[in-house]
Amino acid sequence: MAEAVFHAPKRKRRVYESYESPLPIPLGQDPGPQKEFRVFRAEMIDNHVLVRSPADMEQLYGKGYFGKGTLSRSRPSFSVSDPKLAAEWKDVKTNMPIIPSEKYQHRLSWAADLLRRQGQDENTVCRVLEEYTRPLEHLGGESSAEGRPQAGLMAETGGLLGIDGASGTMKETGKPGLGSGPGPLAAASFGECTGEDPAPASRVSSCVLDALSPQCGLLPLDSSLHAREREPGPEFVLVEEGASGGSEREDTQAVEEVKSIKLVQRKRLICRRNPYRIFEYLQLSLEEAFFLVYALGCLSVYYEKEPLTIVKLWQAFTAIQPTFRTTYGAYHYFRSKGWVPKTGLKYGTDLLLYRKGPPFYHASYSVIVELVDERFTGPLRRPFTWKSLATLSRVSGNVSKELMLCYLIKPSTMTDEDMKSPECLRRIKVQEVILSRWVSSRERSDQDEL
Amino acid sequence: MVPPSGQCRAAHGEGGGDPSLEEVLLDWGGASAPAWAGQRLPPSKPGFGTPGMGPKGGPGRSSEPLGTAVVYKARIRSRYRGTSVKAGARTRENQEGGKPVEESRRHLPALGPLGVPVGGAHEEGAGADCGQMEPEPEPAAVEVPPGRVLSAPELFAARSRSQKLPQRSHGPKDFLPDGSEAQALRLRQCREELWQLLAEERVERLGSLVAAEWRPEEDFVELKSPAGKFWQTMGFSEQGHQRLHPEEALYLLECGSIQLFHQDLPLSIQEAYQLLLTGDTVTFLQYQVFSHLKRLGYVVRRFQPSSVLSPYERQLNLDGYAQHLEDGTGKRKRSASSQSVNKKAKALEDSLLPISLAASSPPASVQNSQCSMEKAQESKPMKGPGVPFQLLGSLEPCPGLAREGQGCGEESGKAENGVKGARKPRWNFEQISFPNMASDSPRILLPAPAPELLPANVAGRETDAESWCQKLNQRKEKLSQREREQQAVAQQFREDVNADPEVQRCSGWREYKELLQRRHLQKSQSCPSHLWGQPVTPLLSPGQADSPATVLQHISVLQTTHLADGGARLLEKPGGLDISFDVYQADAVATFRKNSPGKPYARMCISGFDEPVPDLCSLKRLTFQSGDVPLIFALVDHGDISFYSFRDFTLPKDLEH
Repeated sequence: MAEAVFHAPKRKRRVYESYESPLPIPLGQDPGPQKEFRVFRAEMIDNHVLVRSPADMEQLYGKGYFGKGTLSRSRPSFSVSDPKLAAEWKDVKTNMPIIPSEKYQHRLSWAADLLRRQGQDENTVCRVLEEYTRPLEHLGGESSAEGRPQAGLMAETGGLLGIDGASGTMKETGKPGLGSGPGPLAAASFGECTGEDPAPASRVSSCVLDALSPQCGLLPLDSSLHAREREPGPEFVLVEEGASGGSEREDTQAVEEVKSIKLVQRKRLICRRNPYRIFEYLQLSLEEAFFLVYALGCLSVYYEKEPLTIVKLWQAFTAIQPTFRTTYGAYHYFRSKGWVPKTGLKYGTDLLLYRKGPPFYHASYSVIVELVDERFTGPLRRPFTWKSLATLSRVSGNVSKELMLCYLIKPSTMTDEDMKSPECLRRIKVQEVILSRWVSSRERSDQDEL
Repeated sequence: MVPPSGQCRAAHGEGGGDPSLEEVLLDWGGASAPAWAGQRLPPSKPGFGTPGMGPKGGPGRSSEPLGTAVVYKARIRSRYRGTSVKAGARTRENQEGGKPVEESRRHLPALGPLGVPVGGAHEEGAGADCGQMEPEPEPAAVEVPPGRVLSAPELFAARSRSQKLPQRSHGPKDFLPDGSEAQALRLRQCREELWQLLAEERVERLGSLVAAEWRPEEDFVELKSPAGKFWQTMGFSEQGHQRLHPEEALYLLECGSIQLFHQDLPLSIQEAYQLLLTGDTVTFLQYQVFSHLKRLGYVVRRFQPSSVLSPYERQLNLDGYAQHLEDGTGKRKRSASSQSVNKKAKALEDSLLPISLAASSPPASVQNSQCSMEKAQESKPMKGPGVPFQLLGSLEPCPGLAREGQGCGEESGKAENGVKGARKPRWNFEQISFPNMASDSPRILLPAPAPELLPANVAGRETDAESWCQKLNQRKEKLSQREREQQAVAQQFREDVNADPEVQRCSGWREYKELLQRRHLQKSQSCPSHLWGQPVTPLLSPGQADSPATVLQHISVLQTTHLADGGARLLEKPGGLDISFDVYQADAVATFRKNSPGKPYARMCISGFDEPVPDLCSLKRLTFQSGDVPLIFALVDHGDISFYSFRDFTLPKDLEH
């Protein structure tokens, strides 16, 4: 056989997640109620495609491993919460992030900086922040029995967060067999903790909200979007503080309970508004975004609130990245074979091909993509010398990947005009070539290689 | 024992593969012989016999009778700056006349002042102390002419000298000249060892040497006495004579298996390098690869384009026949006929091409019918025996079955008018009625099939299928516990189509289809118009995603091709790289027959490391030429050889998630 042998992909030794679905679209064969075909939303910001809604992010990354978190290596996993503290306080069933007070102070100072940059004088800054970050606790002095109705009341007012979290947690703790800790107690204490959240929130003057919301996260966003789509998490945080003075000593018994169980001396969680929120988004590569739009039809890319059509996107992406057509052709080809291509930047190539997804298998192939014409020549994106090829082959070999050259062959009849629409992909042929090193002395004993 | 390699570099002259060593560069602390120099010597050392190599066995060296040994001299200092030294060939050149002779006396004194040449293009230390090179001490027996019969004391001395290769390392490797005395000393030491090693006499028994004559005008070496064991894997017979290709002769000369004459005078190894590798037969690079592979025990034969079967021949199992053909043409191979053989092969392949198209053999069939290509694509990966296609398990075991109804029509529509992707159902199901053969149907009378659906020579008639129904297994399917559970779970979520009141209201398929159409429309109205209301719509519509397989089928728009596709067309274009050698595995040596060598293990293309990487066009041409034998590119970089293969590949579809 002159053809290269297919080597089974290598499974990762430890897999920490379960496989959901190959693609972020509902499949008819899936058991369970028919899910609705959902069109995700992404935005073009500064030549990048960003997905902001946490639900969309989770779907797109979890099903098909599209994109990467802007603050993470791959899966968007940034959380405000301090993992160590969260582990320490895990008995407090909350989905609000827990942060140490130093971190909270950092955020305060960032927020203050921001307000100052906006031209507020020092007094206003102090006042606004003080108002905004007041511990949301003075209502908590009431008994837990009152806390809950209040929460319910707030839920009716709607739109305000924290309620969902609270009730969700209630439900969770109510479940039998969940956690060995003092479930009801924790729930009660939590109810106190969160019950008061909405109240100050509603009290916060709108000017403060206006002042603070633009700086939520890294990008200018309209606050309404956040109010609608964001999880309650970043709005309120639980700050771990040393119990100061005796004012909080008469806290409810429940909190005391928790504390004693946790053996955290004189430490308590105080719920405050987060003055400076950091959001993580899912950034899609242009190829990924276009694939979701063109192949699956499950993504709308908006540019300044206007959704873009497929042809428009094709042209825009080509303008942003001149070799987009070439790389997209290869991306589409490998996706349509059920593999998961990710960027091969770290190995000096264009794409890495994973089976199933990066969490499950090591990438099997490291791919270089070239577009050639009917005569199999053309201006190459990356002209090779034997030296550079040898280098690349060595690097790929050392990370147990095979080096693949992927040539897209366009027919001679294809004009530039044809190339202006993604429909031209139908006429492109793909040639895959595996480059491997042959060791003359080793092959003598190792004959099954060829 | 390993031949010293790599660390010393010998840069040979430019002049058309002139094998004389014009420049010798030494890396610090490296081996004391250049790679190719090492290649020449080791075969004469015991313990170096690799299968297939050994015309000369190790044992018995010391028991040879006195007085029958000849000396072979590896000469290295042939030409420095144009001073040609051909000690052994002196007499011959005198006879020839015209060639400079007097230099031969000069070669050693001349070396001193000239020193090691300052290789302008070369880095690494060599230039460091060129100027201060002292005249080298003359190794003892340089002037012994090749082919001389040794006296008893000389033979004894030759037999009893150390067989060990000199120490490889002189401390850590230096990268830059530092001008120090110590470095210069080390450099000199390395160099001396190199010269010494290269100048070592090779003493062989006269009786074990096969006499051979170099025939430059015909580019081959003719054996004058019966060939040795090497004949099993090397050489060829023509006109009743045993002949060797120049590279084979040179290799055997280096191994100490033949004695090479030219104009009745024996040639030294150095002279043989110079004479045999010039001209347009074998280049120095090719010889380096040839000897490298030979020393590893491979059987290396010249590549003959005529020996490659066309895909069609292969398909017809013409191996034996083609072999027979080859015996005829192969015999008078070499010399001028090689070109015509090449042409003949092309003509043969060309004439066969139309047939192979019709037979839809994978490589040739692509341009014409995309449909058959698609099939070939799908079935091809399955064919390979012993290939671990784990992923393919779920790859549509039967392509025909996997696509049902509409899907099938769609597929063919896509294939037919490629670009537009129009959907034209092949069958009009509204006119074709399907009989109900289920057990709940009491009477099954099948009407005569419509004549237009039948081939002309087949007559259809009405039948009563009841007797058939009895023979059918209509029992209820038995499910395992687990299957039943699964079904129950699925049942929870799935609604019976018939339970739908709207469906119930339908009186026929047509109405039901209309209903589906309506619902689909309703659904797609929720599809944003900037995606679906445009000339270019997404490849997949919301309703089409039943399983990963169907999704992938819908979005697969790019076609796969193979390296050998359309290669015949490219063969006509001349130029570029060519296949040089066929390589057979070392362990096949015992059974190897030159007459029917069988399928080679690989074919070699030889290229310099500085030369361009073959583009897709050359790759396709060479792969086509190589047929079903893997193609390997051997890259020679100053005596170092590395091998790379470009092989056709098709990533399997992965559906098993």
